Amino acid sequence: MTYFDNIILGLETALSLSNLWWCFVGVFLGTLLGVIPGIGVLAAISMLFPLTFQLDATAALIMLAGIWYGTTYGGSTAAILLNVPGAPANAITALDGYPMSQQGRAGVALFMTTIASFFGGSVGIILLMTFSGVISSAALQFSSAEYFALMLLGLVAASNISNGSMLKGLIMVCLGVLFGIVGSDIYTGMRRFTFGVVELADGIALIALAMGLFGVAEVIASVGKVDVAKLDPKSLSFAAMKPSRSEMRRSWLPMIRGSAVGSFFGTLPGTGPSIAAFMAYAVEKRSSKTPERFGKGAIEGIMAPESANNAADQTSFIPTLALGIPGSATMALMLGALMIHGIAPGPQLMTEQPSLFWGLVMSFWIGNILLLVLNIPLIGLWVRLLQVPYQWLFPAVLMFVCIGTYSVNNSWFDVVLVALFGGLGYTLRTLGFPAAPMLLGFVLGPMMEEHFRRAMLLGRGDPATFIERPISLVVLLVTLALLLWGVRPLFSRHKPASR
Amino acid sequence: MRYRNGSGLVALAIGLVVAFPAVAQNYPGSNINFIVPYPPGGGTDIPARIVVDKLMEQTGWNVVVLNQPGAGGTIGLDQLARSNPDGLTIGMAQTSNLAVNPALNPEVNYDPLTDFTLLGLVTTQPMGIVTHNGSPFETFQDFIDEVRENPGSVLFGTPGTGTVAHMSIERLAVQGDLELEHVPYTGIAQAISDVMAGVVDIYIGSVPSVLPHVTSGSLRALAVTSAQPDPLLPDVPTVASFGFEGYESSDWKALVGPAGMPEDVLASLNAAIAAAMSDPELRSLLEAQGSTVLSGDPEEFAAFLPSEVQTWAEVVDAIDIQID
Repeated sequence: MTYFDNIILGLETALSLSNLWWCFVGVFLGTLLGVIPGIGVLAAISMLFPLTFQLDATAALIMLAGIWYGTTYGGSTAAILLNVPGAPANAITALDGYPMSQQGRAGVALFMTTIASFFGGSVGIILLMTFSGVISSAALQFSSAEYFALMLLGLVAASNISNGSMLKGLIMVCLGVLFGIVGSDIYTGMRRFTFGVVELADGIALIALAMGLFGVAEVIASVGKVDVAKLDPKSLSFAAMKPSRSEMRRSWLPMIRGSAVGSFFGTLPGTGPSIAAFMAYAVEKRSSKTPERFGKGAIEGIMAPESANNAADQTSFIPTLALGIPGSATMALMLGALMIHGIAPGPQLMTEQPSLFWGLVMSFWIGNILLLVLNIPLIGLWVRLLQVPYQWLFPAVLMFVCIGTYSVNNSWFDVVLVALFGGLGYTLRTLGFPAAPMLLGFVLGPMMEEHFRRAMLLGRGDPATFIERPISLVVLLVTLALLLWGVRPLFSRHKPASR
Repeated sequence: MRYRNGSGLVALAIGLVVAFPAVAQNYPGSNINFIVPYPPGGGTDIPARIVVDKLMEQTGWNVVVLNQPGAGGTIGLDQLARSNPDGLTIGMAQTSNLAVNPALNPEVNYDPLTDFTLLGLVTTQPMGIVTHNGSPFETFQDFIDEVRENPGSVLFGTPGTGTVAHMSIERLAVQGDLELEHVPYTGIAQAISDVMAGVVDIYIGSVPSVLPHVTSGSLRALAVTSAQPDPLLPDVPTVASFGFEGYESSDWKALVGPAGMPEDVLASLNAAIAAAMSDPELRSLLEAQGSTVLSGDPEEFAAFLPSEVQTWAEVVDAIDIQID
């Protein structure tokens, strides 16, 4: 079968009435659950997983996938409007999205992130359709040495994501790494810093840390605020969503770079939309001629991460479908939905189940288009959320954060953690410590440890393994260059600034 | 707040009257909670849901699956052991949390042999030992020879420290006095990717997780850990056939309840489970997961578990590792 035949077959499958319906259900629920802070994609898919029993495999996968990329679409909404990210992957969007909202340009921010999401998603789908085979075999070249080098590069590149004191940022990265260390040592099984609490054996749940730090802390910080943003009815019109000319001009490149960064991290098992969004933001801020605008409502600061996390959403299907290797807990759930119907995931999936594979892929197009038409008219409605008085809105947010956190592991302990991290987040915020670097440290730190130690095991204790493997070497050199670039001002300072 | 018209009190009273004598005659009389100590969609959740679905269909009972993951499946199983033995809480246990972890992990508070009512074994799956297609090891014997000649030279990947796969390898090493270099991963994704790329020499994982890659030719299966060849890999020899006498290691799933369940409740449950497990549709669904389907007979389970628990305890003793 040719490429074109496959597309036709996929469209036939995806456009069948029932599959179309489940695609709609998926993306609709996805956006909705994404908008609600705290209910992340894993919780959403876990809750709806039992439903897939009653569906055929293709419809089940189409629906679950719709939820997966739908939540990322919706996740930016609360981040922009309330400074409470819908999911960890959207935390970084709040850095510039919330200031835009405070400047009265929430409509523009929401409109542009929808465009960015669609763009990123489209790039991801095109890669998935065209280069699955090539990309998945290239991803096989990434072993622990490469992962470690990449994570190191990520940490160095993103060291400046927050504004303000570099030292405070570094302290927060370290604090994040320390929280990341809690749990079982994966090489010895030894429990570290769990203090006999068995619930900590698997470490601190990402959702608990992220939602506490960003969601609950924001709610605490808003206590006592009585003023409700006065909304000009005009701010809900389509005209108010239109970005300025210069914003349009400044959005293109971040969207393209963000999609590229996102697509790359999506294909690597273990990394995903959260890391992708962080990295895309870091790349933008690094490459910007005016990095000082970031954190104050720069449009690049929302376009890059939102295109990145949606691109990553789509490309994470590449290893999952092309190799049967699920890169994350959510992807494992998708494969579980297949296995329940007796379909073995693996490299044969594309050839043995072409209608399933291509039907799913084409449903991504339909789903992304649905999300676009679903989201733009809803922007007016979401912006109205700002009119809801804080005393009503924030208790609701707290409740959803608790429900969402609880439902990931059905664990009340995680809810306690959310409260603790909420308190910590508020304290740090009043002291002027930024939360984003802490989340970064928490996500990257344990991965760096895991891969560093495994690379050393695989290299039989010889650190030369990091420079003997070509990809790892290149990435480390880039990291070094970036570091030198960063300290460059230190050396040029005593030279007179002559021109 | 006061009960303005007393309806709350009435409801409460009715609730108490109805709730108390519920169990005995008309079991279950209410929802049955089914604890799965692992996340939804995983290797324990899927067979659990298949069995629950069939139970509900055949008996008309209402069984609610509760996923209670954490700490290698011991949190949910601990909760199950401590729940009321009225037959309204049952669940799915497996090799790792029922047989291996009690020996491995001193934080586990339950005793597999006394704290549970053993309802029945549902499925069993061997593990496959694989290498990449360009590997010098054509057979399992080649691999053993290499390890004997150059102890510690072979890198052995597993899906994680303390998993059944890891313990199966330790057991192989103990029995054959082999020195292997263990490389634990966190789940199958990167492990399979690394063995396909030849970064680790050997990998052990459940047969369904390696089967697609064996079929596609990117991995070569050297041996399976069951006593008899696995129907999914009929041409692959068993570990035992290479001089590892009596070696058998499998990932089984079983239905359990808390200890001390009343006789009549147990009788209804056993009958329902036996009927479900002999259903051809259920058997073919479970087989499609790559499992060998077992009978669900409580006596078979009771005869099997003590030796299984003892075997793993001996392996843990011999390798002298402990998770704490």
